[in-house]
Amino acid sequence: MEIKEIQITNFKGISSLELFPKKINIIVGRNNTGKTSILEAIYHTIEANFQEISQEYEPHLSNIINIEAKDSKVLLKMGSENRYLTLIKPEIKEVISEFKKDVIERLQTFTGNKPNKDVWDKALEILDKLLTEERTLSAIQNGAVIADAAGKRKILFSYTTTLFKQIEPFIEYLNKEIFDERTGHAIIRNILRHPLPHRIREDQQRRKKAILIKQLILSDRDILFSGISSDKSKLNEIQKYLQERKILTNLERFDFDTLLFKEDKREYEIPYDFIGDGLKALIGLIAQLSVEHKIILIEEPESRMHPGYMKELVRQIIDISKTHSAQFFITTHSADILDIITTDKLEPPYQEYLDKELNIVKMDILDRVIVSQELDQKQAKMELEELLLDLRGI
Amino acid sequence: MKRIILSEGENDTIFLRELLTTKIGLREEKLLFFDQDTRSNLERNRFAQQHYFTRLEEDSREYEILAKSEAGKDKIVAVTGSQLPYLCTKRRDPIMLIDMDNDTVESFHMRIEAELGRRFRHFKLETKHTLLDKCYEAEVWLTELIRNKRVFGKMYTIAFNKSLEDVIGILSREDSKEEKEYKVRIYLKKSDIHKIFSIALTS
Repeated sequence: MEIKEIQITNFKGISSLELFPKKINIIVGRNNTGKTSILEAIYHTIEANFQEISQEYEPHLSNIINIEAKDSKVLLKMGSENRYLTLIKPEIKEVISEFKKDVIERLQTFTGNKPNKDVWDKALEILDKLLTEERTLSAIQNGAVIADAAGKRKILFSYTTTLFKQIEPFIEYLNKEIFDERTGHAIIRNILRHPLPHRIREDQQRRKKAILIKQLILSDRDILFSGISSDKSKLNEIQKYLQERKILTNLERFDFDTLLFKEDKREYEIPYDFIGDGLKALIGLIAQLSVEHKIILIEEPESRMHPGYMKELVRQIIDISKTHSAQFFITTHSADILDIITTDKLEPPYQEYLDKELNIVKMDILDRVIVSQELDQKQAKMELEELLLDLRGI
Repeated sequence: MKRIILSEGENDTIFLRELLTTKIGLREEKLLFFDQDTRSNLERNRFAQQHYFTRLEEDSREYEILAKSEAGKDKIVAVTGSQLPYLCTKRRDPIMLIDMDNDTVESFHMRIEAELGRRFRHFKLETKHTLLDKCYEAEVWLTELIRNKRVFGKMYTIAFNKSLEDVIGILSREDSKEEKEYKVRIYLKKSDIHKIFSIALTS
């Protein structure tokens, strides 16, 4: 699985973009030039998980489509298995019945205080009446998109504040019948906005081909809920990496509670929390990846990382790309990362890989249009060393 | 309006400093020079070009002109291809000072167009070139960059028919910096070349 060509049309701020990626793609540019949008476009097209799209962009789903357009399209050319994601602004007539189904599906996740049939029928009667009002339909339509990918098609709804106002009588009725009057509004709104629990479970169990990492360092919550702290093979993988790369000398055992060291027959422990953020980032990358991940998207990996660790991070990325046959898309503002990948700071095998597989994508805004330039390693070196330009833009 | 002049080499810098102060009437402290060839190693640091672009825009001395020599025509083409659209968005309307040698202005323009096309595949810019004026030794051209039927930006090309060195009589390898400055002063006294520059600077 390798993306050979990317075509993005009207996705968020990007009106039109065409890229020809390689194995290691570094995306640079000022803020708000579409770097993160590229990562999101690739990720959601590969995964085609509508629930995840809904969850990520709620309550601004319709804003994924560029403001001046009626639809958005991402096409990833991958040899024989091209992927696409199309998002379309729906017509009013398309949203009415689907919206009602969506509301029912979301509210039926109630447990305990599940409304009885009479209450439910009355609530739907109120909703039906509201769905005859133009302002309600307009609020539903403005926040909705039709998603089409991997042979599936579904209308995704945004539960915006405007929409909540329009369906207030419906919420108020359910609140009065089921919940405490003071907290009920918030609960119903939360249920409508948040993903359905069984869908989340399905999502966690599904093996993904792509991963979008917005934070390399695992939070306490990530460690606690992901099950990684008891995943022996993953702990071994991290330990082996730290030992073989001599990143932590004298390391005997790694886990997410403590790191055990042995020096001159003397053993001592250091809590995981005490190690620096740079090291936690290196560990975080291994922890979050699996061999199934073939498209790895990372947002600003340099965050909270000392430049000394960045060289190791780049080596780690190249190693993973080689061994997992994975393709990386990385956004960065780091001059150090650019320096490492475009000068002769790495060992020859890494240099050779970058010489062949590095693609630098420079993003910028011209005349209110997001534009890109792609450079290979030789061209990037020329810009940096001969022209003394900053690849990250003026 | 702040402006940027891109030229080929060290001799252009000597020429521009004299021309801009004595014939155009700008104050020396309002001129910012960046000479790729003669910068010390310390100054040839990463991102030096961007550093000078930023100084032109933001420095408290409020520079009026950034005059950069790029160590050859190839690098003018490369820097222009990379930076021209951005400079246009800042309304800096760059001026290229080149020697035609045995070449033509048209071929220089074609090289820039090719570089722009290669780098900005999805930001199509049409170009319209107009000869504005010429004198015995040089000519000035206006290039309009057109996008969606409106002028997106402008660039000026001032081209010596042969070369600056040829016109002034500079012997690049033999003349000292003082000798070059002297020759430039003598040349400027008898030449109308400043009129060509005035057109580009005031348009």
